[in-house]
Order: sequence, then C-alpha cells, then structure tokens
Amino acid sequence: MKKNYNNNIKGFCQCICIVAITFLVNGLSIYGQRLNQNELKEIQDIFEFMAEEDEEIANNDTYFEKLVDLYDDKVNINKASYDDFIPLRDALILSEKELSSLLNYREEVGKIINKYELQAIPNWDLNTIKRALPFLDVKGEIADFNVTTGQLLFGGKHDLFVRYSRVLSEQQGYQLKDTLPDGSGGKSNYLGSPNKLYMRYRYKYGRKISYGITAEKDAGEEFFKGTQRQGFDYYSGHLFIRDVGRFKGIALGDYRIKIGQGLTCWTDVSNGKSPSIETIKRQSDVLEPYTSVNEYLFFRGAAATLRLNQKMELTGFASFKNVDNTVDRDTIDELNLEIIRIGSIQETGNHRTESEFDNKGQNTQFNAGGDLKWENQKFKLSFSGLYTRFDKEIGDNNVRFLAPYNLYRFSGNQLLNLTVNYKYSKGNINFFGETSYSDNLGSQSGLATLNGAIISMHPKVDFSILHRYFQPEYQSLFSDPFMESSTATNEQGLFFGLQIKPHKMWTVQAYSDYYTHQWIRYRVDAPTNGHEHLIQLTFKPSRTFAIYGRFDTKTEGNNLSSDTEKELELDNEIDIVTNQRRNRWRLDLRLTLEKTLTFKTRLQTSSFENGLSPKKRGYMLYQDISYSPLSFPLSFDLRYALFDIDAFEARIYAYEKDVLYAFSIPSFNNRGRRFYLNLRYKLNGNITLWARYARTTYDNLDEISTGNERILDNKRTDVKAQIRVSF
Amino acid sequence: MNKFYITPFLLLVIGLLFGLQLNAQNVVESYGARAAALGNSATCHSDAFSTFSNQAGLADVEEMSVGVFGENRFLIPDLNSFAFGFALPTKSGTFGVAANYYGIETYNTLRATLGYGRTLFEEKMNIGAGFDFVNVNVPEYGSKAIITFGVGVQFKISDFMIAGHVFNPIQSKTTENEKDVLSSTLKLGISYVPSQTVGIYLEGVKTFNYPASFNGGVEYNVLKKLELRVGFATLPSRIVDGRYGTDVANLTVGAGIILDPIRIDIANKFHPVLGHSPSVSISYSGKKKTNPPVPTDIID
Repeated sequence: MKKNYNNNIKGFCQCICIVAITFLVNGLSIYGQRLNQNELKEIQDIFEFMAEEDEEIANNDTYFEKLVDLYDDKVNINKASYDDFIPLRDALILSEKELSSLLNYREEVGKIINKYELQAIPNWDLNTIKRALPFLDVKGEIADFNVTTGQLLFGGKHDLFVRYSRVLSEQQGYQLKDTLPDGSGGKSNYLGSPNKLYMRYRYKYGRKISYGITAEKDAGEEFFKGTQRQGFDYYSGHLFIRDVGRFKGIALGDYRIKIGQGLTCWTDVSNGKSPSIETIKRQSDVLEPYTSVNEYLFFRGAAATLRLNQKMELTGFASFKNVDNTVDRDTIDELNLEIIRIGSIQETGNHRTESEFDNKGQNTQFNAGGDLKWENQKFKLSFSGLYTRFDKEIGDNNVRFLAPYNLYRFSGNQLLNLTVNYKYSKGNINFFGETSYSDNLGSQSGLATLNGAIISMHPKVDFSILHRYFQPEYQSLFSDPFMESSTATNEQGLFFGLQIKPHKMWTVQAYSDYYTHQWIRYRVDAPTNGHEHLIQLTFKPSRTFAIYGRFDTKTEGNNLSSDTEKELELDNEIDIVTNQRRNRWRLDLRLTLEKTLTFKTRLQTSSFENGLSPKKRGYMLYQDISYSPLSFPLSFDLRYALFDIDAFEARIYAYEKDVLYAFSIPSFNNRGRRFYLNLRYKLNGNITLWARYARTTYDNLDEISTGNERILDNKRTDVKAQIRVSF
Repeated sequence: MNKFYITPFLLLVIGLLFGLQLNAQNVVESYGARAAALGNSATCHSDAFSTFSNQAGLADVEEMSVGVFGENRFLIPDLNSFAFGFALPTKSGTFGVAANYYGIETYNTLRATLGYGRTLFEEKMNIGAGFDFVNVNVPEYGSKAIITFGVGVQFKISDFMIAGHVFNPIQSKTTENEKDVLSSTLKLGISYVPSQTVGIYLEGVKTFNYPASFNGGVEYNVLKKLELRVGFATLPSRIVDGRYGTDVANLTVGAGIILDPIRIDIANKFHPVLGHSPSVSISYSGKKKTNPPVPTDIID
C-alpha cells in the first residue's frame, strides 16, 4: 500500500512536471506564432537577454537583424548538418557544447519528433530551449527551395525603414554665428539641420538572396543642398547571393569580412569581456552582407566564397573606397612650396562642419585579400591575407605621428597582414586561436597571437581561458580581437572565466583578466598593468521572476585626469601615472505579470580611486515598465532613472530600449533624472510605427556638453520616430 | 658589487619581507604547490599541509600523508621558503605536524605547528585546532619566539564546503613595543567540488591591520594523471595620502602529476611588478581505500 502511495505521488509529480514543461514550451510557441509583432517581441527578449550579458551587443545594430534573419530562416533540426547550425552558434544562440550534444543525440537516438523532446538532449536546459526554439524548425515543414528566378528576385520579403531623430534642445553648433561675438554673417558652425534621417530598404528571400540600400544623414549634415547635393551623406548598397553552383556566397557592393579570431580583420562589432563563457571565441562565416551605417568599417567592391570540396573553402575579395582623412595644406610663398600634412583616418562619418566636410573622401583605400579554409566537425584551419593600400601616405609630414605614444602606430601607405587561425575540439575542450603577422612593407613588422580554450569541466561547470600577446610593433587596420585595449597592439594578457550552475535556479558567473602594456599609450605615459574581475550571482526561480547581483572591479595604470590635477592643484609638466581602481555594484530585479507587463528595477553604484584624491562615488536607480499586450496593437516601454555621480571616472552605463534596430547604452555622470517613453503601434500586418521621447534633466549643471554640441540649459530632450513597411 | 648597489638591494629585500610578504599574512604561507597554484586558497583543502592551512581539513585525510614543499620568490636567490607537512589519521581523529623555514642567515622565520582535526555529525562538519611555535630571528637584533594557536572549521553542504579558520586570535606581541604584534588572521573560504575532476575555491583573508584580500582558483583533472590549475590572489595595499596605490594581483598557474602513491605539484605565482615565484611540492599518501566499482552497465 505504501509503495503504491509512493508511486502515486511520484506519478503525480511527473504529471505536474510534464504539464508545466508542456505549458511552458507551448506557451512560448503560441506566443511566437500569433503575430509578427509578437515574434519581434520574442526576438527582442532574446536580444535583451544577450545584451544584458554583453553590453557591446547593444551597440550592434546588425546583431538584432541577424536574429531576425535567423528567425525568418529557421534551421531544420533533423535535416541540418553541422554547417547549417553554425549561424546559430555564431549568434550565440547555441553554444558549441549544446550544438555537439544535439548532433550526438541525433546520431544516437534518431530524429527529434517534437519540441518536447528537446528536453531530453544532454546539456539542454529550459533556458537553452527558450533561446533556441524560435530559430529551430522542429516539425520539418519548411520546404526545400526550388523556386524560379523571378520568385527569388522579387517574391521574398521587402522591408523598408525610415527613421527620424533629433535633439530638441538647442545646440550651439546650429546657432547662427552673427548671434555670437565672432559673428560672420548668418552662418552656423553646423552646415545642416539638427534632424537625423536614416532610411533602409532590404529585400530577402530566406538566406538565399539579399539586396538593399541604406542611407543616412547625420544631425548637422546638409540634405540635398550645399555640400550634399546628392541627398544623404552616406549611401550603402549590397547584393548577396548564397549557394549558386560551387559558390557558397557572392557579394557585390558593400560586405563584411570576418577572419578567425579577429586579429587581422573583423569588420563588425564583436564581444568583449562578458559573464557568459562562449563570448570569448569569435566565430563567423568569412563573408557576410553589409547593411549597417558605420561609415568606415566595411568593404566595398566584390567578394566570393568558393567551395573547393566538402571540407575546403576559398574566399577572395577586393574593395576600393574613399575614406575621410585630415589633410592640412600650408604654403610657403617665398619658396613657392606647398606642404601637405596627412593626418589620421577619420572613422566617425560626420560631415557637419566645413572642416569635417573638407576631410571627406580625401584618401582612397584599396583592400584585397583571401582566406583558404579547411574544416570538418572537429578541426578547422585557415590561412588568410589582407593587403591594404592608401593613395596618400598616412602621417606624412604630421608632427603628431612623432609623439612617443605613436611610435608604433601605422603610418605610410601600405600594410600587409598574414594570418593563420585554428579551432579544434577534443572531448569536452574547444581550442581556438590565431597568429598574425603584419608588415608595412617598409620599416616595421610585428606579430600578434591569441589562443584560448573553452572547457566543459562538468555538466554544471564551464570554464574558459584566453591568452593574448600583441607586440607593440603589430599593426592592423580592421582588427577586433578579444582585448582590453581599443586596438590590437601593445598588450599581453590572460583571461579566465567560469560559469557554475549548481542548481537549476542558481547561476554563478565570474571572470578575471590580467594584462600588461609594454609601451606607453595615448594618455597613459608609462608602461602599465591592470587586472579586472567580475562575479555575478543569478537567482531565477521561475520564468517570470529573476534577480541578479554583480560586482565588477578593475584596477589599472592611467594618467591622472585633468580634473584631478586641478583638484590637487598639481601643476606638473609631466603627467603622473597611478594605479586607479574602479568598482561597480549592480542589483537587478525583473518581474513579468500575465506575460504582458514587465517591471524591472535596477540599482547600480560605482566608485573610483586614483590613489591621490578622495574616492569618487556614483549611484543610479531606475525603474522600467514594459507593456506589450498580445491582442492590442499598441505597446510601450518607459523608464524613470535617478543618478548622482561624482566624476566622469565613476560614470555608470545603462542599457536602454529604443525603437526597433536602434540601441544605446548611454553613460551617466553628474546629478539628475532621466526619463524615456517608447511607443509602438502596429497599424496593420505591413506597417508598424514607433515613437520615442527621452529627456535628461541635470540638477547640478547650467549647461550640457561642450563645443558645437553645447546646450545652454540643464535639460536635453531627444525625439525619434520610425516607420517600417514590410510586404 | 659596491656599497652603492647593495643598499637598494637590501632595501628591496627588506621591502619584500615586510611590505609584501607580511602584507597578506603575518606568517609565511606555505600550503604546498597545489594551494599555491590556486592562489593559496586552501581553507577547504584536506592534505598533508592542512596543519598549516586549516586543521579542520586534517579530518578528511584518510591515509597517512607526507609532503615537502619548496618555493622561491621573485627568482631572487635568497628568498626561499621550505616546508614539510605530515598527517596521521587514527580512530580518534587525525594528527598533523608541519614546519616552515623562510629567509636567509640575516633574517629568517621558523614556524612549527602541531595539529589535530576530526569529523563530527556524520561527516557533515570538521573541526580542528593547532598549536604554533613561531620564531623570528634577525641575528643583529636577536630572536623572538611566540607560542600561539589557531582553530578551524569546515561544513559540507552537498557539493559545497564552507570553511573558516582563525590564526593567532590573541595577537601575540613580537617585541616590547605594544604596536609590534603578530597579527591575527581570519580566513573564510568556500569550495564547490561537483565531481572528482573539478574543484573551485574562493576565499577572503583578513589579516588585522592590513586590508582584506581575496584568493581563488580552479583545478581540473584534464587527463587521468594530470591536473591543471589556475588562480589569483589580490594583494591590495592601503592607499595612503601622498603615496601611489600599488594595488596588484598575483596570477597563479600550476599542474599536478599523479603517480600514486606519489604526487608532484608545481606552481608559479606571477606578480606583475616583481615577477615569477615558482614552487614545487612532492607528496606521498598511503593507499586509498578503494570503493567497489559501481556496475554502471546494469543501470543502463
């Protein structure tokens, strides 16, 4: 009898579990299938989850788009090969471990019959399923394509975005000069209006073909007149075709190249240090279409990837584009001599003032390169090269290039990078790395190497380790590897990260990074070292409630800031380098009610010490409310934040929701309040509208910002509007 | 080498002795090279060196164990530390002896400890205590011996262990001067060992009159006979007016080679300013009681 009773209890518990899981998974998918808007919301949730983990993602306008692409073109869980899953792995939706678990499971058990079976895959927990399910086709309903050329070219999805934004508060740069003391008759410093316009059209047929055009006018730039007779200041167009004959991909127009671990070339935003283990490893196809508005970090021309055989791929590319370059001309009349000083490449893409416009397209950049890759499921090896040539010699006659911190900086007109990179999986260990050589075909050559491993030590413990060594002499123009500095040079470091899930509701994430810089850097007048540590504890008892706490500390050598020098009444000719420590604490709470209403509260504090002046502190508290009903077309997000921060060095970053495809993590300083409201209205199946209003009010400032951006008020107000038409 | 060069060298040595070594701990830490590779976070360990790190750990030493340890600091020939540890389990608990010698003829310290540890409450808790003899010898000034003690505890909660240890709670004086004391040291550690192949350790160390530091590390049995380790130890300094902060962290790496019943551990601590401190320990542990193998096939 007792045994029976126990069995009953056991059975009852199992039932409850199954019902709960079914409800959960079902709930997710119903949610996903209902409406386009809710699909977007789902992707947005995943995106936000990723952005919280790694705030650099939030600055990446293409990452979200990548998720949408993947959503549109789901991977068939039963038919897909290892290669087909790679885009999901690259987008950090599946880890290498989860991916290999899935493939092993499929091999051993056979076809996955329905989504509930995903639970049975080793290393897949509810979070994995929640993250991956929207991108997987479990039912196998998606037909292989066999379509006519006409359908392929015009029968897919068209997507048009127009976005308008502007700072409502009056900024100095737009004021007419005759209202200023040095007035010179009705002109303002900024040539154009404070309106910012962005327009994008993109066509897609699955992943097979994509073409589109993107255009942008930054605030302050002229529009269809004066310096900008062609309308927008920046245009970008692309055509990208996949799987044509032996070609894996063909790109015409603007495209991205992403090689290995990014030591040589990675023309995309990438992950830095983050509590999640997988992000230290770069992974991507070499060739991708370019649809962003970064006005520098892309290639323009033609590129193609050719499948040589099952395991080998060859990519070749060539690019030619104009780049912005500061150029000063001086004439010495007596000698009838003109001296031309070439400064550095300008990557901002702003052409708001006459002098900014003068730099536009002053230099040309030619790039050519290739990548030969051999890859199977366990091992990948690739050799690549990139050659860059400028029309004018960078740094020519320019005295700034003679400063000691610029000793190893790239100058001249050509650069060659040769690189080898690998990935290798052995048991539960994933090794990866890249070693790159640079040569400016003149006086300087250098080496850089980066090697790491991700280890699944135990089903509950994951560990990552990464070492990098970049010689100060190493030069690269498009690199973006895992690093502490902003350019891949003059750094040696060891990073290790740890993720523990001792219980299904608890997660501990931590990392430590130690690094040294052999040579002096911009505003750091001595060789320095530093270390950074982070620990985060997450408690997630249910899908609707989560709380986490995070502590992050970083200590490194830096020059004293000019504010500190003033504060200490130091009048030194020589800048003092001290070890400076910055600590940050964060407590984050999130609660979702009825699947539609989400409350999020966060408290963040920071402190900064430079060893000489008193400790600086910062506090920020904010409350978010998001409402997105399932059956009503209007939804909103709002935030009210309070902050009190002593100094710039103790600044606090806070990720903000924005209109679709626009993201930001502004940093806060001083004392004040911040408010924003985003509205979204779905007019019908094809048209969606967004609007945003944001205002920061400072209590301790009379004016905000400096120079042309200066606002003679204690408030800054931004507005934004966006329309999306898709058919 | 003329006098001009010797003086700064001596200052450096003295600086290292007082400023850095004694900063984190008032007695020399020597818990073996396994602990060294894990940032010296050994409060949760159980081995021949538990007599020094936390006597409660002795309780889990199942067989007679002995270990010897040698460490060089910053590759400076005179800065050597040697230690040995011994643990003998009996029916009424485990007894341990450990000793450490550090320094050179003109400045040296000797620490010898007798320890005892036992388990309580169905092995859910270990307690231990040790009696310490610490002798500081500076021939030009004389030598001073202190007798003191330490007590420790370890709690086991599934795969976690929480441990605490206090050394010298009485703050014994080292000279007639009230201010010259051997500081008390309080350690609080946590470990997570989900299986025999993975161990994660973290601890906070507070030596009175000095800022707290944090140590931690991860060890992994990558191959049957090879363990790899990585860890850190923060060495915060108090930032004093008019002086620049010297807040740094030691990065530690190491490996263990298991050749039952002998194991060899090696470690290196890397200090970003002062450089490398390699160490090695060799331990012997009597044969372990082997559990009968679990017939996994039948379960499947």
